[in-house]
Amino acid sequence: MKPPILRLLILVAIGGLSVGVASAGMARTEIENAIPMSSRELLGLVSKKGANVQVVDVRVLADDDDDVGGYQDARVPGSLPMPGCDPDKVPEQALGRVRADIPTVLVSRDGDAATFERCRKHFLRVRNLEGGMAAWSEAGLPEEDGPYVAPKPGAGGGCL
Amino acid sequence: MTRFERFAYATVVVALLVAWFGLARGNDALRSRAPSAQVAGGAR
Repeated sequence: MKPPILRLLILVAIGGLSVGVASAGMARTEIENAIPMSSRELLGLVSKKGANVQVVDVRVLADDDDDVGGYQDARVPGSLPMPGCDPDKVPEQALGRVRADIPTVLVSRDGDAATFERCRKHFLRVRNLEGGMAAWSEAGLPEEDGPYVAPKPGAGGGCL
Repeated sequence: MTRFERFAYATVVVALLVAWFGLARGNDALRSRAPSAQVAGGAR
């Protein structure tokens, strides 16, 4: 076979393989997004110093009628408020902190799949907290309450 | 085509094949943990 033709064939093969690798990579992200995260797994993740993950809480800010409550009643430490998955409802203190490009864990009241499906469009890589805030509280894991307070600059990336 | 060129092409092709098969196997393992992804991903 003539070298130019051979070279062309090899380049076509490399191109095809590259497309295959890229599509497998994208499929992996999709699959990872569909796997719910357990409360313990999330605790391990947010406890790590400098963990590249954000926790976004989509519950209402306050709910006195519900035993789980709202964001300000009890939440995963360091989580960011985004009531109703609406970027326009993010409180002023947290504005600009909820980012689409950071791996995200979504916290709803009880990990409802419909809520997760509705919210996932706002993030590139996002997983659902299995059982939501109800499961987190039931497991007796650390909680925070009160309005969101932005961390001081240089205070570190860990949530706990 | 020089020997170096052949070696370079072969290395790239093998690396891509390994990456592809590695990702495919990893994806299959992950799919078993994500029931909803089986529908979306068309798992066996």
